[in-house]
Amino acid sequence: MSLDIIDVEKRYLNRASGTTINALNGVSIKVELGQTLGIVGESGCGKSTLARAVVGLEVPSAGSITWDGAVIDNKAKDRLKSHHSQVQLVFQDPYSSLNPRQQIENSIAEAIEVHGLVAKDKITDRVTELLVMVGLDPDLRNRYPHQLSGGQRQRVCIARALSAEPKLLVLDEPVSALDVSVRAEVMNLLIDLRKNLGLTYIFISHDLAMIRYISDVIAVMYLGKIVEFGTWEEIIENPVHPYTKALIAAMPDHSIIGDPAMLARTLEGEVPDPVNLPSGCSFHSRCVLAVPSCSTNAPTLRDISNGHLVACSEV
Amino acid sequence: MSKPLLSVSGLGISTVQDPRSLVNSVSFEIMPGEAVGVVGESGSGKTLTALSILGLLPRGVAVAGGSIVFNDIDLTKANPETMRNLRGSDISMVYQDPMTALNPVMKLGRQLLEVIESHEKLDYNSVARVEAALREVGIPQVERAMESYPHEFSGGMRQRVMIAMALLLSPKLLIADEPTTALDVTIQQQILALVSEQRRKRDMSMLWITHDLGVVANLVDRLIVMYAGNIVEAGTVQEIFTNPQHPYTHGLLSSLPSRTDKSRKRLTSIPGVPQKPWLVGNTCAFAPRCFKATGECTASAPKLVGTLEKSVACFHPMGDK
Repeated sequence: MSLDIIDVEKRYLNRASGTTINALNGVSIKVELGQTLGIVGESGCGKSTLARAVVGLEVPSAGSITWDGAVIDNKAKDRLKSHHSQVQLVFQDPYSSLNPRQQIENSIAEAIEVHGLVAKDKITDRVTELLVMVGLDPDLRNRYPHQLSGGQRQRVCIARALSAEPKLLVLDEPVSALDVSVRAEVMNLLIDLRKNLGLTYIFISHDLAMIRYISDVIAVMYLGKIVEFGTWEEIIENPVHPYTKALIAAMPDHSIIGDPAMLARTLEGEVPDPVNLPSGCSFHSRCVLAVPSCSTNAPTLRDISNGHLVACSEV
Repeated sequence: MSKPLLSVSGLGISTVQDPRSLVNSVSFEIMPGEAVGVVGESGSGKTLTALSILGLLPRGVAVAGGSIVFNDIDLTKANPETMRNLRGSDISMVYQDPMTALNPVMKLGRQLLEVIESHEKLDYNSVARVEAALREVGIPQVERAMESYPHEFSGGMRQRVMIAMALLLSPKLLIADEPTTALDVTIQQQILALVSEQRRKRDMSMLWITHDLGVVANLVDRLIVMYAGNIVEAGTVQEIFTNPQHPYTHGLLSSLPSRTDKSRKRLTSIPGVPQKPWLVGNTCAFAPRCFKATGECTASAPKLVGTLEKSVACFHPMGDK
C-alpha cells in the first residue's frame, strides 16, 4: 500500500483578471506505508495545495494521485468517503477547524458516525478512548472549543482525524499556530501515535527544525515543484540545491549566540509570482549559481546518490 | 556608566473596569545604543509593555503603577501633546502586520511624508528624504514605489516600508513587535539583516519583541524573558542561552529541536499551559508547571534579583552549569 503522486499539476483560474495561478507544476513523489514524508517550503510553494489534493479537497489539473491503487478525485462521493476513512488531514489552525457551537464530544462523534466504525451505543466509549489517546482528560468532552487552550484544541483535531482509523495522516503546519512551550508536547504526541498506531505521516511545515525532527524523508518545494528530495540526514547534513542551502542557512538558530554575521543575507529577492512563472529553472532569478542556460532549460530531478534527488544543472 | 535611555520601573498594567492585572511590576533599562529582546508566549504581557512605552495601550487597558522614564520624562505622566511629539521621532515602532499598520488607501510616498509633516514643516527637501529612506531599506524603483499603494507590495517589501517609516526621523529607540513573524524564513533573514545593519550604523537603541528565541539569538545584546505578566529572567544573550537560571527559560530552550542532535531524542516539554496573569496572585506564576516548585513558591512571589548581566525571579534557580 502506498500513496503515489505522479506529475501532479494544479492551476487556479482567476476569472476576474483572466490569469492563471500555477500552484503545482509537476510534482511526483511516492510515500511508503509507515514512512514520514516532510514537505518544506515557503508560502506559495504549493505545499498546502498538495496536502489538500492528497485528501481529495482539490482535484489535480493534470497528473494523478493514487492511494492503494485507487485514483483520488471527487468524481464519486462514495469513493471519497472510503478514502477519508484511510487518509485524514489535520489543519494548521485548531481555532477555525472546530465548530465553535459544538461540544468536542460531538465534533469527534460525528466523524465516527459518518464512517460507521462503531455501534451507536459504543460511540461514547470510543470518544473517551480517543481523548485518552491524545492525552486529554475525558472530562473535557462537554467543553466547547473556546474553553480549551490552543494545544488542547489541536489535540482534539488530532483525535477527530484518528477517529476514522486512518492509515495516512496529512499534517499541514500542525504546530505553527501553537505557543512555543506547547509545541514540543504536540510533537512528542505525534511521534508516540505514529509508533503506537503504525501511522504514515505527510508533515508539512515552513519550519525546517520541526521537519528535521520528525521526518524520514524530506522534499523541498519551490514554486510548485520539488527541487530536492532525500533522507532527512542527507537533506540537512548534505544539502545540494542552492535553495535548500539558503533555507537551512536562514533557519533561526539558538545554538550560535551573539554573532551578527549569522544574520548575513542568504538569499536576495523574493519568490516570483506564480502567475508568471520564470522560464527555465524557476529558481534562477535568485540563484547564486545561475548560468545563462538556467533561464531556458528547466532541470528535472536526478539521482545524485542512493535516492538523493536534486533538480539543478549546476551541482 | 552612562545613563539609561529608557528606564521602566515597577510597571503595572491592568484593565480599567473590574481591574485585572495584565503586567505585574516590570522593571528594566535600555542603554543608549543597546538592543534588548523581550521573549514570551501569547498573553505574557510583552506587547502591552511595549505599547505602554508609546502610550498606545488599547482602550480599557491602562498603566496601573510604576514609571517609564525616557530622556528624563516620565511617559506615564506625560500629556498627550508630549507623547505625540515623541512618537515617530524619538521613539518609533514597527508592528507585526504591515498590511494593517499601513493605510490601504493612501499612496506610500504620501504616508511617509505624513510622518515628517507631523513633526516638522515639509520643505523642498522632504520628498528626497523619503526617497532616500526607502532606498536605504532596499526598495527597488523608489520613484514608482512612492506612487504605489500597500497592496501592490509583498509582505516583505511592506515590512521594509514600515522600517523606512520608523527610521525616517532617526529615532533614539526603535520598538519592534514581532515584525518578522508573518514572513517566510528567507525574507525574515533579509529583514533581520537590514535592521541589525541600520541599528549599528545609527547607534540606535532597540526593543525587539518576539516569541521565537532563535530570532533574537544574534540580534540583541540583552534578553528579557516574560511569563504571565512578569519578568522571570533577564540578562545578556550569552548568559540566557548558555546558562539559563529560571526553570521556564530552561524548559523553553530545551523544548526547541536541536539543529545538531543526530539521535533526535525526545523533546523536553513543559506540562500544562500558561496561567492568566490576573489569577497568579502573590505566588510564582510558573509554579504550577515547574518541576522544582515547592511550598515556598506558592507562599509568595519571587523578586527579580541580580545584575544587569544576569537576574532571575526564582526561589530555586537552575544553578550554574
